[in-house]
Amino acid sequence: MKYTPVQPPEGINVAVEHPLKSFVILTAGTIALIVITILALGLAADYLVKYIPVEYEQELFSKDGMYLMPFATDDSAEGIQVKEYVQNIVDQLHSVSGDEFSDHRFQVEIANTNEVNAFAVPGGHIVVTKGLFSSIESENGLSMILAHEMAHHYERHPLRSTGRGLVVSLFLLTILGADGSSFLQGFIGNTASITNLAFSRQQESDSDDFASKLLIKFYGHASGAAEFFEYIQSEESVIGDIPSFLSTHPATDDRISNLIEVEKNNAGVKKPLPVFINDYILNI
Amino acid sequence: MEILILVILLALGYFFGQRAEKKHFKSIIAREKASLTCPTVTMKTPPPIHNHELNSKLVTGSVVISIDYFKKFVASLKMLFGGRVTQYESLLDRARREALLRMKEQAALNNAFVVMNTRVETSSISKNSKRRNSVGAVEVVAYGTAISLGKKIDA
Repeated sequence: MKYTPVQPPEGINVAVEHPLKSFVILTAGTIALIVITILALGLAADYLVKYIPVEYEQELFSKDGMYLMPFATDDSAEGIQVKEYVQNIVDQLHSVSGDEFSDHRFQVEIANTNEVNAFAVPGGHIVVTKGLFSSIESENGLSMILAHEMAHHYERHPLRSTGRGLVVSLFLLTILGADGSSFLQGFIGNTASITNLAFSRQQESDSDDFASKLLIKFYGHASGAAEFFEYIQSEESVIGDIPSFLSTHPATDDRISNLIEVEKNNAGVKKPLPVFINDYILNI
Repeated sequence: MEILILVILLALGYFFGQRAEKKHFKSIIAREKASLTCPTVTMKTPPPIHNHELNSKLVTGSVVISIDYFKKFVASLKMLFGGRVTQYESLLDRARREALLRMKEQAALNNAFVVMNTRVETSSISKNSKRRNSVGAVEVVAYGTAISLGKKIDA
């Protein structure tokens, strides 16, 4: 037997390939997969939400479900008086909104903050901030905002956002893994931030349409429909608090001019706000 | 923040890992060339040499090499999709050749002209580590029987 001393060539047992190549391909592929899955899950959740009965939603997000709300409620005597007044308007608006929505129930909460905002929380909750009352001049203006939030509920927008957030965070937790405490934090944090209502522009303008129609149905005219938005527009440059509202509600000029148009075509006499509202906003 | 840490770890792993690997391969190739005169074979029977007594001795070489963070990351992604894990291939190749070289160094100390019945074994260290992101290491042991010429036999 003969032995010839030669070295075997390189590159047989080791791939001759730049290490960054597979890194780029694999990372991009994994990220793409995760994004596609999240989008698909989000769409699926969005589609399935309308099959969840309203009663079940209310049971899930009853009073205890209000942990989703980022503010404390105003439980002072004045706060409760205002709450009853707003609740009464909501109930009256609801009674004329149509039979197909008869299974909806609404629960008004007054948030004790000077921020100017109103939002719909799953389970039929409508949260109105204390600061909001300084932005409106008439009951019609208030009704417009309430009808707008009710329209979100009728179209199940809050539940859709929550459902989407829940499914997506569950998916992320499944692949990333988490222990008990951070699971809860992740769930609440994610759900809450999404419930803080990143509704789409389309959802907003649909709700505007519905709300102005409901206003005409209830008052016989649409005066006051653009009141709140005009206030937002006028204050935009003055107060720093407003953009937080604008970021979730894209108040485009189109949206305001549409409402002004509706208001013009359906003019009428506005109903003033009760006196205790003026007293209520005095201590802001 | 977590992403920033990940990026820094990946960059560090890539830079130092690649540098160490290049350096190691260079040294392996040079030393292999130098030790070509002493072959390592898997045959069990010694060559038929009649004019000398043959001395035999167990020689071993072992090495532990750790994978770097960058390779570990890419390899774990690769394990989702399947295919050649080239990141581990170079690691194991380095370890195997280094172990054989160390074994041959020991054989050279015994003036061996051949290492018979050479075996290479691989085992994974820190495999059972509970931390998912711990960097794994491999140990490779090479062992064989070094044959050297002894007393001359007069015919």
